[in-house]
Amino acid sequence: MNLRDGNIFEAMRLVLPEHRGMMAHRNQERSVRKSPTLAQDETDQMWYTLSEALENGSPVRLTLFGVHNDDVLEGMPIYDGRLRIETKKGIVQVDRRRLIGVEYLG
Amino acid sequence: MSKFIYGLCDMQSFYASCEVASREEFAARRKEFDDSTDPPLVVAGDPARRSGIILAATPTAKRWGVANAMRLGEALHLNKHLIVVRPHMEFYLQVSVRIQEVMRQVFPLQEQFSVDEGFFAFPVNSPLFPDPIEAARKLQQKIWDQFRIRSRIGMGPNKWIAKMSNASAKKSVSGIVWWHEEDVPALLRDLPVEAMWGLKKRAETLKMEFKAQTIGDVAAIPVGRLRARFGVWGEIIHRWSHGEDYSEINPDSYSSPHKGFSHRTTLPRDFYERSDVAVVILELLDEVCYRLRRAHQSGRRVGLGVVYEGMSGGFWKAKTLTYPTNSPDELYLELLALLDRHWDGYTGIRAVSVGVDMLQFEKAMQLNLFEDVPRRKELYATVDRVHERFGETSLIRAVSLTKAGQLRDRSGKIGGHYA
Repeated sequence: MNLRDGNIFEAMRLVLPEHRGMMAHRNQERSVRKSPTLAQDETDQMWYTLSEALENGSPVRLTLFGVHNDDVLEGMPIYDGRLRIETKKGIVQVDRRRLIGVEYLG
Repeated sequence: MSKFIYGLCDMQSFYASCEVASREEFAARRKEFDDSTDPPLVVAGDPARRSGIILAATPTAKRWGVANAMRLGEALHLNKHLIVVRPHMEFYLQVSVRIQEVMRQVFPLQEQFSVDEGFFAFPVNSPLFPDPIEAARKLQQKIWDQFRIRSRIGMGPNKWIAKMSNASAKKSVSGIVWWHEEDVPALLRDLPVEAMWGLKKRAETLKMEFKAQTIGDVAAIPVGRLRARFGVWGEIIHRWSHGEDYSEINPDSYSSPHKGFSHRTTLPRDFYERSDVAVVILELLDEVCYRLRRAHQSGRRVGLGVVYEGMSGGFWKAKTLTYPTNSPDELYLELLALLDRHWDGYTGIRAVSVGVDMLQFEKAMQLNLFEDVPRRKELYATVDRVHERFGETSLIRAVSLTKAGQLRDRSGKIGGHYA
């Protein structure tokens, strides 16, 4: 850093590595999201859309909750006791507990 | 007019305040604007390791003449009823991280400066902060409400003035001071040179060589003369003496990549033997290299710092290598060469530091005709995995078991003090 024109205080401070690590850890902790609680009618609508798509053989977009980012899967849903989806990259098992959105693409 | 108002918020006697605030018997009777409600408490290191110095003292303890960096024995001589507690570094750092979060909630443009200080800024005439004093008070109040820790806030047209006005806030009843831009020259003019924050030994030079007694005297020195004597710092001194500073607030300051890694240790006694100093160098180097490996980085410059007996004198010397490395085997030899070149061999050594900078990300592996480099990398990767799983002292070099070894003692500490 150019001492003359830069943030001189950044150059002068002393930070313990443990402190820096703690800050990073805390930021990571804070970025962890909580799973949304869906209302009963939202859940009903989601499963209705999914069963319609299964019956009609229509593609869907599934949104799966993740603590840092949601995962979005697009493709043909398959149900044989287990919920799966056939995406362009192959067949993926769907964790029903993480499912927070179903959109009909057909 | 400046675009922003800058502030510096710092905690009063931070370590000692954390101790008081977390002990029910003291916290309940503590009042925000009456620091005599604090007990005479000091945080002190371990006397047996010569770190038995006062790290922090409450205002009540300070009224007895107790000061930071004083020997514990001396402090107890001033007041034998002092409440002495050992440091709890991890707790202080946890509190620090949370206080900085509160600062960021009040002022989103915020940058941590030290464990107990943070800068913030907000636009002049902002509808969000129509009254700067009120905004600062809101922060001060939140910190008190949530942590029972007193804070002082200095504000001004730039970061350096915020730091300077913070010193004056420490003496004010409310703990909040705002230096308006138009008043800055008059406020600085008569302050002693030593009051110029950040100059360290340069303040002494300004007094001795330039006969400057006040900041006003420094402002009158032509910038060319200052530049000739202090280099880049000459310009900064000139700027500061006129109340100017161009430093911005960088809220992402700590997420930016490291510019270098270094470790330092103060020894429990003076070391006179080269072989003993070499053990300490190797231990510190191992810590530096571990952090380099974790960051997937290598450095091209390695530095060795030594402080002599009595904690005065010493040197910091560095060597630039032809290629970057994070291998202790390679860097150790360079450090020993620096030691042999710059140490007289008989003056006692009290503190050692090792650093590696001029970093770059590892994109390629520098092979060596005489050594199996991939194998060595595998070895260190394995060592790292063992350390991460079982702790730093689960696998150590045999030399760390000698009398000179400091690793086992250091591993239980943060910043040289009890975790």
